Amino acid sequence: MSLQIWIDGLFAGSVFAIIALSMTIVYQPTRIMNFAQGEGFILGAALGYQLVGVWKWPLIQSLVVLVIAAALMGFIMERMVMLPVQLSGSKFAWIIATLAAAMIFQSAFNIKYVNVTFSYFDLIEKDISIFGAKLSVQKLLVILMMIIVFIANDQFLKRTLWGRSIRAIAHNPDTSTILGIPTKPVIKLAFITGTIVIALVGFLASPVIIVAPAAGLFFTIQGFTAAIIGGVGSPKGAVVGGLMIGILDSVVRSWLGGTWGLFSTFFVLAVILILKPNGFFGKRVEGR
Amino acid sequence: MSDLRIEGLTITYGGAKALDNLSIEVKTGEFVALLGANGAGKTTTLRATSGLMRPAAGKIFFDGVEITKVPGHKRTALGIGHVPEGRQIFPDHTVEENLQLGTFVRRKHRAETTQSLEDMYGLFPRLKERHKQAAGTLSGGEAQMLAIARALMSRPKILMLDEPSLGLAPQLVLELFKYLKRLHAEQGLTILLVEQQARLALQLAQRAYILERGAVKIEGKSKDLINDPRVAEAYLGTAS
Repeated sequence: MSLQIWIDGLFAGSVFAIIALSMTIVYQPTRIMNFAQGEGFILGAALGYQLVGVWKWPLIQSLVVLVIAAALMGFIMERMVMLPVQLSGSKFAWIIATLAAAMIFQSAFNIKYVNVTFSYFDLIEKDISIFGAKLSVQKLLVILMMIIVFIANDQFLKRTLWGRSIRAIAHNPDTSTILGIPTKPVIKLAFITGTIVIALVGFLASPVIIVAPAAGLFFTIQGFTAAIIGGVGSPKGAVVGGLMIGILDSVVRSWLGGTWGLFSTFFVLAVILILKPNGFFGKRVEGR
Repeated sequence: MSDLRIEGLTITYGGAKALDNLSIEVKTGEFVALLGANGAGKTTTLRATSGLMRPAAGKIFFDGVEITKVPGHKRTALGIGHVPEGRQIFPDHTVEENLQLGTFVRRKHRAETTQSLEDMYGLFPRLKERHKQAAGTLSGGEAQMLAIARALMSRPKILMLDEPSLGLAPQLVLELFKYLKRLHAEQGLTILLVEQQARLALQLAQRAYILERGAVKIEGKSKDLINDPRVAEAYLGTAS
């Protein structure tokens, strides 16, 4: 088996890992798996295509607009998800609320970009050769971003008081409030940060992979799968799960053909759910 | 001055009135008990004071300032400490992390918060022994000590405790109340104590309010109430 397959898997795995990390960032204070998260990926890809690909804007300017747009999307998403959750009082309101948000954003992208796939040129058109295998700088950027986001999130949670309060909010928002922790602003910030992260990877990855305006849910499901395999809520789990399904997909594709890639991902998910229901690094989620 | 004054507070909860025009006052340095049967509105009173519930009517003053509309997390910084019903420690955080979360409002003064941590370990030596342990592994008594210590870490002017004796063995309840007495006597902490064990609470507190159906039914000095037959009636619900 050639090294190339593993490098391609590492890239795809990094994309899934960042998506899972961005979902983890939202999950940590809220215990909500946001099914609309993948729409942030589409936002990044769409803006990359529009600003860099079509309008030929300089990179820095495009990135600034991207971050602002993603922050705005995260802000809106928080209202779309948390408002119904708070108003209904139901434990399961988040499922329908996040799916509804996903559908709304997806429709918006479809209206603007009917029959378009978001692909544009590499930002840096350069390849690195590793023992005869090719790794483009664009892919390398995604892999590096994955490492940075992982370390930042992991250290933030473990080492800072803010990180510890995020875990506290997940456990009990009322008790966090009486200790003086601003629970609602923290949750808003989690949605905003998570959306910026996923929009950035959408922006960086879309020159390499084919992204359609309606593909948000696909990326959500990949991130969701990665998070479950690794253990929901754990940054380490998001990375391990993401890399596992990325590499598995790449290896199986080259071995049995393209259609088997997705099958193998969900097959592994099913097996892991039976053997390790909480994923590799997940803790049993205790009921409130 | 760190008086707590609640004026005409009404809170509706799912159509029913949890509090009905309730007025109470706790003066600086006082130890006041809030008693009453289940569902009388004791917990609701504390939750409203902490900003966890929005009143339909009425006002809450603290330190002479109206705080009715101040968001909950900002009231901690004003000096309101709350040990919630059922302790509510964070089981996955270590004992020390739980205590550090209590310093959230003072996080910019690291030297001071380190000192507070030492103070708490001095006050509750058992927490020091277990400071690296996950808080979920503590016994009921230890968990209650942790919940109180965590609330004290924010340096509250008033400490509100919601049934701290719940689920503790009688011996531990006495130990716990000894701590409360010390906090009040030695550190001059203002305390508002919600209790089911009325007799014990009346031995500790200087004054008490007895709630019934969301309003004050009886109020007075503890030594007058302790032998008042109406107090027992309020608990048995025979009064009408």
